[in-house]
Amino acid sequence: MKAGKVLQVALGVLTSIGGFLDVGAIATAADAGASFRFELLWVVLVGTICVIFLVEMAGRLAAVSKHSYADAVRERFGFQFYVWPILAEFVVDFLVLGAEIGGVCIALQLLTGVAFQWWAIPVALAIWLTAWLGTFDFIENSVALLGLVTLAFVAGAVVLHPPWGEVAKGFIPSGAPHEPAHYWFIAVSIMGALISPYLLYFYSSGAIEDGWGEKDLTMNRLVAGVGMGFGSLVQMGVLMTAAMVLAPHGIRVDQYGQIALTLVGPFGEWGYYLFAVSLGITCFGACMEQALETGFIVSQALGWNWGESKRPVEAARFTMAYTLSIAASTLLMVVGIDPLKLTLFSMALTAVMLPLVVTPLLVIMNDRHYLGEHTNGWLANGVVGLIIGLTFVMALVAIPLEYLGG
Amino acid sequence: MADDFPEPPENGTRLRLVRDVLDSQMVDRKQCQSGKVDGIVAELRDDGRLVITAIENGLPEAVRRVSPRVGDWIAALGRRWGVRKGEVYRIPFARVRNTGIDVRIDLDAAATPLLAWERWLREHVVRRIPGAG
Amino acid sequence: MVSWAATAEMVAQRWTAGDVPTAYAHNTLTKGAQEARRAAAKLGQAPAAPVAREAQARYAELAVRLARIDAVIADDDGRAAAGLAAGLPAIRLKLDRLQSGCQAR
Repeated sequence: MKAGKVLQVALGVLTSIGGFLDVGAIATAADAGASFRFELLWVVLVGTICVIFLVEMAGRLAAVSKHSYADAVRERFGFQFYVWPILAEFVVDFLVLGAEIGGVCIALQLLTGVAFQWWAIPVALAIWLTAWLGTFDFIENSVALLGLVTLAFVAGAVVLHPPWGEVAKGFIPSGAPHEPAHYWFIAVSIMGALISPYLLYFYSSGAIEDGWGEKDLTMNRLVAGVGMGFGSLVQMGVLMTAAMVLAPHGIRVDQYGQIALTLVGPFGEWGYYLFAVSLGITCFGACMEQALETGFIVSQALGWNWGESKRPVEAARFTMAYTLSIAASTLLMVVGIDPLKLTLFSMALTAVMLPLVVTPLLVIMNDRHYLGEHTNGWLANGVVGLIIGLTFVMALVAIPLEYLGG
Repeated sequence: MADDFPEPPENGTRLRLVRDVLDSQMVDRKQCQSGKVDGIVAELRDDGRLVITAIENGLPEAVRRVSPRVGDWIAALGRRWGVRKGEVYRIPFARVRNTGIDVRIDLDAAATPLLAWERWLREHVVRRIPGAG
Repeated sequence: MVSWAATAEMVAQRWTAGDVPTAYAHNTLTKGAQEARRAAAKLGQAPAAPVAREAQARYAELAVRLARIDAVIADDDGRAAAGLAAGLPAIRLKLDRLQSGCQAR
């Protein structure tokens, strides 16, 4: 591989690691660690494997066909089908973007002491300005590279000298040691946070923004596998620090402020500020992606010209779409809805709509019109089939578990 | 650009209308994304032949495929508040070329209602905000 | 609720060690006291079982202590905060036992 290509892969891997965490991943991993110590590590591993396959496919689809996943679903299945996952995605996007904005606001509250609601509008303006003035590459790379600060969770986990035997056991799928409803609710929420529909839509749109072609398929595989794989270590770090700092004291995660203690444990005062900065940066990056993703899916569903790398005058409908999305979601924080509760609720809702979003992938990835000779092999098809089965199970149990164990 | 435009298909070429035309991305002569094919118009001629005459673009038309009532409601909203006055734009089928994934249309979308909302938002909202380019 | 008692305990300790800012400690302790008062009020509406009365008294005690810690933290009195926080584990242990006792039934 040429030097330029190696650099590109390295950047892709680093941005995947730095951009892996978001408010949902942090909240669900911390809840898992605080409630069940290392017992849910296997769920993070399973979810990551699913994400690696899904993200690789979304990138391959975009690189070969020059069409995003949203484009392909409408074109292949028709408006009558597509309108339903799209409407569901709007609702989830609205809630998740609100939660991500909340994450940034909480980070600022932790740093300044000023209540999170007061930060909602300034944060929204910052997100909007970055989208308005920035290009796709700048936004993706800068925020995700800054997000490498979240490696503090991995460092924190190591510094606390985890019981490696117990950690290893945590990777073996097991039943609930206690509180089964809560255990499976967190398991479903972790999966909902990891296998996020926005990943498929955003990643495929990003591949088109970056001008990927068939020559980039190896890079796509590396970024998906290595990037997401290492990225999941950060989420495991959150889970492990919560397991070692919160669980022994019987502290459950009811507010983001409690999660700050996970880094105070290993790092003292530095840990508090590291947590606030980590939360702020990762949630800001997620806000950018979430807001742009709403613009992408509306534009692609209706066939508008779109592109973050275009100037706003060149894609007026696309820019108005993400602008309205940011404005609407900000209201959730302005009125003071608890960001953590909003996060966990939207993760459960994501789990409910996943089958609608993931099932078309099995058809599209085997369509030679889109992929030519790069259609799925038996392994990829098998994994997608399993993922679809899993999403159906999750969809059935998510709301009852939310009620019983949420 | 005109030289890039695909030739009409040969006589007897089979065309899968629903699979390859309906809901496909339209791309104009300048390679500009011009919306989706929301509908297909066919006419029954006196001699009994069904002739495909046009493709359509317009949100009311797409929504009518899900629910005619909701589609009509959206059209009514468009007539009252919309830039395109709720109208569905028809492109003669003679100007249409199916290229597999996309549908190429032999016109300049910027000069048609296809980009009416884009033009309106650009001139009345986006350009007034600093940094719009 | 025992989780909030434990959180307040850890935060009070961390504040005395200088690891967390005063504003954060204040927010956490206020929230903890609020939850304790809510729990006490809820138990006050329950039938007058001895366990419920005991738990109500413990929650009320916890709420008062958290409010006092919050007040001394606002005065930046580390010694007083440490002293008051030292009494939190005992209250939390009693609440833990009462909760386990209820669950066993």
